[in-house]
Amino acid sequence: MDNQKSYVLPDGLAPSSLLDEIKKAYALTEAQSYSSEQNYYDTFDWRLYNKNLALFRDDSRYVLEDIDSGSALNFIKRKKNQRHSQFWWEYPESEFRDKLKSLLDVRALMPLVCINKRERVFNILNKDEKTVLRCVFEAGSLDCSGNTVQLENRIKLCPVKGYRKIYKDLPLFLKDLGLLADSNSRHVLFSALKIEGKIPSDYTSKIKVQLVPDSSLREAAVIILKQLLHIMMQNEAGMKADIDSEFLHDFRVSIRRTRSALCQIKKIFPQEISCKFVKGFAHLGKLTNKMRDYDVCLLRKEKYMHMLPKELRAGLVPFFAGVQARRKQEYAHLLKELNSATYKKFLNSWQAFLDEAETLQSTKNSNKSARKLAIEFINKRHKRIIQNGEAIDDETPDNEIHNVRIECKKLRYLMEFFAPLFDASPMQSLVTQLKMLQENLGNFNDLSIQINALNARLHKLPHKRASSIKTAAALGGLIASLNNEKKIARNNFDAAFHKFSGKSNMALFEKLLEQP
Amino acid sequence: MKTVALYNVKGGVGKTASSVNLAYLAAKDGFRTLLCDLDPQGSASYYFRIKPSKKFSAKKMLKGGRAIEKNIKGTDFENLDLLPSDLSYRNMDIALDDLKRSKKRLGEIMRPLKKEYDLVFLDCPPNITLLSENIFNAADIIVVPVIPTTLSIFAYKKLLEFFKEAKHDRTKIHAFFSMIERRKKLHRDIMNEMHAKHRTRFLHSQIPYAAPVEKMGIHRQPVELFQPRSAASKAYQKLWEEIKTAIA
Repeated sequence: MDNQKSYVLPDGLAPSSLLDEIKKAYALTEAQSYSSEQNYYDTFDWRLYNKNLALFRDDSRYVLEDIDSGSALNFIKRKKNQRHSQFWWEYPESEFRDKLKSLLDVRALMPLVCINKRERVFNILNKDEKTVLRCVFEAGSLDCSGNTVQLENRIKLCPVKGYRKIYKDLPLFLKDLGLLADSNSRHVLFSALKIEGKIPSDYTSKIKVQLVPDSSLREAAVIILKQLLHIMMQNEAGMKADIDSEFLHDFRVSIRRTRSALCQIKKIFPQEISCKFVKGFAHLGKLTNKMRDYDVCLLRKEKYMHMLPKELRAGLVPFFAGVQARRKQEYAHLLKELNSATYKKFLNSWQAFLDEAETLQSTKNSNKSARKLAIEFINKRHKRIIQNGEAIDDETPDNEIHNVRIECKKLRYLMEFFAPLFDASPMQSLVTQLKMLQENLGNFNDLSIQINALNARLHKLPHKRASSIKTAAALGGLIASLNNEKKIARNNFDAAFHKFSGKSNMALFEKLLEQP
Repeated sequence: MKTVALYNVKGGVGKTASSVNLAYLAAKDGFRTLLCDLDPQGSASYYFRIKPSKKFSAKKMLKGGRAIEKNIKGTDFENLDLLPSDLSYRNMDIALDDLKRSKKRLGEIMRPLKKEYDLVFLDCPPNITLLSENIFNAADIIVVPVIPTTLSIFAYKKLLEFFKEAKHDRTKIHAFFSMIERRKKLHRDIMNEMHAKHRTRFLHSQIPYAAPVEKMGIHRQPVELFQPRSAASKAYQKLWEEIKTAIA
């Protein structure tokens, strides 16, 4: 679709006056007018907004718009009373659904704002009375805690293909009236979000902290840990409401990072306090393990189905129904834990500790330079990975590969925690290299876990039930197929590791970690 | 992208009126639609009040690519664009004859439009020419309006014969009765006979000979817009539904 131009009418200019001005110079006819309720959606981590996109639903359609131009990129029809479809897989097969799949992945579309929009469409005609340009006058309002708040009046110019001249001329005419097309912050969504007090892109699961180069290790650690706690808290409500699987996932990652920080950034707090919280977070992580396993399994449903020949797929239906049922039970259990006094007390004590941490008695590393020790920690971890990785050959048992994976994860966390203390560009390329190695290791580990879980399920199948035979066949098929994938992943380790431990990468590491 | 050609060897059988109404209904149904006016008379372009740009010609058209895209114009309706005709199209055959793969050229030219349109209607000029053979190759279905008169049936049979001889795919042909006058016995008899003999090739929809269709020239709009409840408007709607099934 061709680009549109959008203008916000200045306060003193009423739409009717602007219309009169245009009428004086052009042949204009009113085509349509309609009002609609536009419900805007995005994922919790603003996946659409971050790609400069906005998605809304009105009475008859879901529309994906480009934020800058306000042009509709894609749309799909929907029935008026149809429930909102949160996930891409809930939409009918279409280009729209494919687009959503690539944008949203596993995340849910959550309501952002609801705008009551009124539009009057005027056609500008040529001497043959053919429409050559459409002018849309837009007015909108927002219900904000019981009050109706009016949004700015806008005019949108929608070109008609093949009639470029008028599309170039009218903006000049509008310019003379003091109207300038400005793509920045002109989408109605910006104004609506502002009124609702919502800040776009206010969530990311990435650690983004600001560390001062000469800060002490304890100061830096407290900033990092506070940020991790903040991410946990941001995810708590969505996790409890079970909106999508990623709230729990991000919550768990923050727990893991917190534990990792407490263990790896050594001797910054009195040991007994560190130990207490490490244990507490380990327990909290454990509480969520089963739930995550079920989520991961359910997210793999499509993949598993496609791995099997059609005649074996039916056997997976009772399997997934079982997983879904057990997940439901586990969710109730987790919810109970998250609403318990113990959980609240634990997080409150952690918050209180972080607030006072800087006033605590000093320990061996607490006052040392953050950058200096970060270099030491990262160096140590890196060396260990190189040593352990080089020792791996075809005969090495799987668990040693898992150990390298864990070492890599620890290194990755350290690098991300302290990234602001180093040059951004080499740090970024080293993290990318590490990510590639982790991908191989993670894939290998995932496959091992899946095979074990499916095997465990296979052994628990009730012998007497007739459906068990089909399920057993399906699980057997999956296990065989996953086993092949696992072998491939294992064979690929060498190449991935050599890339990571290659000369240029090692030199980059050394350069990055040079003292000051 | 599917291509639907509105074609008949004979002129004046309702090809353009059908193209315009069908393309409009398809666009209204949500199909991103392009109507190509291939008739040098340019009637379809006239109905939509669209003139070709001065630089457009048969040669430009046969060049394809940007030359075509640049000359496509938006109609007054959402989802519906038109490639206007030009008087130079009268020499399309001569231009085609100069080219390699002269019978498949049109299909090749249309291919880049695949991404932008779900449906392309070709409003074809009468006669069996090199251009017609291009159309037979490029179209997924060929919709043939037939007036239930002796000469019109004769022309229709000629077309079938030609398809057989030139080894074109005859299953592409979907005929329908156009401009029918129920009060005429001859019309009724011919329709009964043809429906019995060519059951699979004739669609059920029939377009009446009606004032609203003639008035399209005055209103310069599809029938549905100025006489939505007329028999003609309903008949075109039915015809579109049948064509939609045929291309599905």
